[in-house]
Amino acid sequence: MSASTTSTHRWQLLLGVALTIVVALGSAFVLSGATRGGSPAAPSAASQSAAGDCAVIGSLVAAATTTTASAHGVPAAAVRTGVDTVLSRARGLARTAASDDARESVQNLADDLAAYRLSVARPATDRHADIAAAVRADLTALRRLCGH
Amino acid sequence: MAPPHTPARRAVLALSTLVAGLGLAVSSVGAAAGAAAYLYVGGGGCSDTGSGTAAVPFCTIAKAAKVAVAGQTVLVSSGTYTDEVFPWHSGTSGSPITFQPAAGAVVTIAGAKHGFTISNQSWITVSGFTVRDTTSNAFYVFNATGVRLSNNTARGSGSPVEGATAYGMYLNSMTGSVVTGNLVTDNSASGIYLTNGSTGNQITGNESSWNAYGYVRNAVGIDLRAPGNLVSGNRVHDNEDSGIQSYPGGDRNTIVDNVSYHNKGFTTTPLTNCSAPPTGNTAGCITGDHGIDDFGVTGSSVVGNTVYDNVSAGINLEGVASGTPSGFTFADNISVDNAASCPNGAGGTVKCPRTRGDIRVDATSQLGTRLDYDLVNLSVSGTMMVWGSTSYTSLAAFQSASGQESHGRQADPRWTSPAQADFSLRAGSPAIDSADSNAPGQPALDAAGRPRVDDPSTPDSGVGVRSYDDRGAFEYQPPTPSRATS
Repeated sequence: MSASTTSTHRWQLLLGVALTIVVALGSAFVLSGATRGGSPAAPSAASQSAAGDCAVIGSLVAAATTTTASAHGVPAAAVRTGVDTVLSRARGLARTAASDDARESVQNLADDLAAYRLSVARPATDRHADIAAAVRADLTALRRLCGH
Repeated sequence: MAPPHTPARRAVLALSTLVAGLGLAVSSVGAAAGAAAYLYVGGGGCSDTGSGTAAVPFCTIAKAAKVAVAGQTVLVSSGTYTDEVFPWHSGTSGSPITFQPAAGAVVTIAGAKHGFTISNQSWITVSGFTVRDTTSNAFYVFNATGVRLSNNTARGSGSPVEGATAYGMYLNSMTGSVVTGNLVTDNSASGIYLTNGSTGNQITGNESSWNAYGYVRNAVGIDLRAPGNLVSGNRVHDNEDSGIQSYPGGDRNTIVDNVSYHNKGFTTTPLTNCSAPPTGNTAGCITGDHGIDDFGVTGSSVVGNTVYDNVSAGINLEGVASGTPSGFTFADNISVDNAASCPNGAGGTVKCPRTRGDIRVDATSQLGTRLDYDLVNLSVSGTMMVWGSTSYTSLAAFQSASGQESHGRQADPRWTSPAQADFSLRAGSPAIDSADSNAPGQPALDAAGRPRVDDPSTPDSGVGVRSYDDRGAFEYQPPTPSRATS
């Protein structure tokens, strides 16, 4: 066996040892995390920016604004249908948005749209006015969240 | 010359290295399992690069939250901290992760975005902190179970500016958790908000007060947009809107033994949904609303609450879909002097606009609604009850027309001092020993945690497993009771 072959074998051995250590350390990290019952490598979603959600939020805000602004004089059933569509989108986004801030703000809109949907049957009441004001505030909060 | 590295030798070496590595892994796991019982935060010599021992504590609670694992308690020294705390790991049902001040310490978190964010982690306990002046919600929980928030203060979150408001406690997809003994006050949105399927939670013994958006009348003491929770023994007062509110999504909640009073005010700041008084000072807006408000929800129990001096109908149910049984039970409540006068500055004894009555059920919500064993009263003439579209100035007239409240009473409840918010009963109160102890959700202890006791001076007129429960949130404690629950 030549000296160069021996040297190659040594490097191969060292490389193998190094790789094994890396694998073992990785195993330790994963096992350690598993026993802690959480997501040790991932910071909380709280740290994520809402920016990634803003395109779909913008679309939602536009739809909700149009639906609630055009409710005056429209039959309650038609308003409800329009609200149902926007409400469904809001509820979906409230589950899938990447950032806590976006989820919260969209959830607030979904909650108030659900109340708004009920209140359209009594458009002249304080209740409807109160809920409509809450929806407008939700929409403002979403616009500000996305810097609009 | 080194011996030749045969394939067999290389395999042995690799295996031994792997074993050594796995040993390291196992060693690491062992350290996690045997982690110190306590992590320390704050005080002299602190370092966030250390291990959080008593000798070298962490400087920030956030650092402790990053490393704390199941079974560990984070003890925080006195001081004002500015970091947002979000745990990186879950506890377990038997070994939660606990955050609390060290013995005798006073700990404030101020100026952060949130005080505590518990997002996608479970079995976390946070107890004894003051969180104030956060830019967002003081406490934020998302997708968690087994959370316990106890004896904290959440104050001054957000700003009363459109788009910058924040809740005291925002509880999103939180299940099987306990929120108890907290003071939630002066926040710029509702005090405690449950939403998005938060269910199986106990919201007990909290005080939620003076919460206000400031530009729109919308802040509630406890706002329920999620089903199946117990809301018990809370004090809610002086909020910008209702004391306790169940809105769409908030079905099948049990609302018992709460005290909701003086959700009623007057502001010279214009509100989007301003209600100006009919006379008097019209250069401002009336705030406040119901003591307990249920809108578009079904299947809940409103039992044993004390409701006083709110600006609109004291206990209110409306907006149930026409033809749908509400499944609501109102029983054992004391509701007095609601919608009886405008707040100070807005007309004094002039009655304010909006709804009236100590108890009100609107026209679409009558089906499947049951009322009995409630005590109502007005100290001035006015609307006592509203049933459908008809108002009644006396309980007798309501009973005759509706067939409800056959055991209801109209009388002064003889509270100790309502002006001082002391709603305990005095001897001779008509509320004593007269409740339905089988009303759904009626607890064996009162709002102060005291037992139900039989007053020997009062004949029992109650029904159920105990014939001596009192109406309202507080049980009269006679000097020598003849019977008592344990």
